[in-house]
Amino acid sequence: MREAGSINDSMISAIATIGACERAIEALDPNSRNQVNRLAAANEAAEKLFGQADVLDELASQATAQQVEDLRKRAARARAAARRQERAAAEIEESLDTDDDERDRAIRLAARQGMAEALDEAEAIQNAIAAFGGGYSTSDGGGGMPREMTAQEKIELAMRVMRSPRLKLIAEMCGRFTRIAMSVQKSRVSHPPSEITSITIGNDLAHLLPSEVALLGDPDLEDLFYLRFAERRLLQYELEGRESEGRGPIILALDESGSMSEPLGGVVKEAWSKSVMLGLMAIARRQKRDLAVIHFSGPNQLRTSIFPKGESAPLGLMDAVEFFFGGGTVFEPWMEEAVQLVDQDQFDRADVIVVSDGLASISARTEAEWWKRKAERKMRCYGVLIGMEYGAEALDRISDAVMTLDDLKQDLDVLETIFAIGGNDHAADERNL
Amino acid sequence: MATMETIENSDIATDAIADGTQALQHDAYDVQEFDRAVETYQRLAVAVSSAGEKLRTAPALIRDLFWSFHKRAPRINENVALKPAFAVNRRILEEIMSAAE
Repeated sequence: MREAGSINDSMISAIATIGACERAIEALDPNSRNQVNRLAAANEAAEKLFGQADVLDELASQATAQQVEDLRKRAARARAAARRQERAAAEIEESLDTDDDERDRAIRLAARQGMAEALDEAEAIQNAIAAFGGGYSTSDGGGGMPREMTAQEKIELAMRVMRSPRLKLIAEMCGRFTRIAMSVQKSRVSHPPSEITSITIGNDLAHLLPSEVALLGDPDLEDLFYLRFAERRLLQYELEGRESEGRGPIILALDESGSMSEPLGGVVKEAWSKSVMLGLMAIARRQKRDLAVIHFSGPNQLRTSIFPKGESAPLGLMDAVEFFFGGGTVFEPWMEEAVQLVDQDQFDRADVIVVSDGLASISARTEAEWWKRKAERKMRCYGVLIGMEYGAEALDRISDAVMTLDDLKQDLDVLETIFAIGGNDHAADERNL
Repeated sequence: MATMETIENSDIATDAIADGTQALQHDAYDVQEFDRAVETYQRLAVAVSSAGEKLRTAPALIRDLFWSFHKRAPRINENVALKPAFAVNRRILEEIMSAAE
């Protein structure tokens, strides 16, 4: 439990405490419980009576002569009653077996069970905090910059996740997706090291200090160069690359037709697509890029959530993740919405990614308008088709590339491609052309 | 802004609990952390009160348990003279701490 993060975390500690304590008390046999209660009650009563006796004595010392005798008598009675309680407590204490191995074993087993349940809950909450609170930040710069959540926000988030199996599942999946997203972004060296930050040792010929290269010019020192080269001890510049911020925005269109709630390869398609959304959000947050998520389904079923710079309050993000239409599949409305978005400065040159499990057709008018705006606004579109080939042709006609997935458990290649798209730097690409 | 009066009138714990009810080593900060947790997490407050109805020593046990999870290096206080009724708490705590390892 402590390894799961209870140290200095009041919420996880509280969950662990409740789990362990409830089970341990249940495991305590009724007789022991009764004796402990009687013992505690007798101790408390004795303490109280002794206290009363002291107060009565104190009052007697300040009372008139007529009152003194009565007060002293009452104090003595209280003390006598206190002693009776003490004797009763001593008898109970004697009968209470403090070294009962069987009882201790039962408590230990019960507490283990309670803690195992608490651990599951704590892990689910930690997943949720990481997924919806902008977490999955690592020291190597991955996963966005989480802000510290208040205790109240954590509680609300935890309560909501524990009530919703869907959110719990997506929070669980999100960790893997975000790690893949961050790893893809990290491995994309679009900004090669160019700035000298320090001097280090190694054998990178391109970055050697001139004084080291000069060794080659002197036959007496040439061998020293080779020795240092072999031992990787030549002085060289340490270079760092700088990643530009403010890359292009991302528009993610999510198919929320009823069929998306079905599993493919043991993974629910909707949960997979929402995890992609959270992975893209981590990229957007890290690169300070605007992200729009268009939920679409039937003819009048369209909802757009905008996340400026990939930021969102946890509960707002949970709203977007939990939202699901469950209707049919019509592409035109989301395409029109995407076109309207790219017309705004905020989504100029956006990368549009659409995740769907199939469509029927796209009208010629919408398709023509799409291509016109696509060229004008320099937007790119990528399609992800889950589970079927049906609609691949139509999706292909509106996309720069289409990826298909037959098994959501075998999704690594597709995820790496999606998250690489999510890291496109159009300005850099144009410079390279 | 806190004045002397508000500080004096507040319920902030300024000392450890030394009445023979707590088996775990702790200080005033730990008491404050627990009190804050009870204020913040309703489930913990409910657990304190409902467990207390079943076992009179349970509130003290819950405090000890909370510290055993929350503190970096929790240790049972071998020197404290626990009240007789609370000796069972120490046994329960020992079992749970050994189970948690």
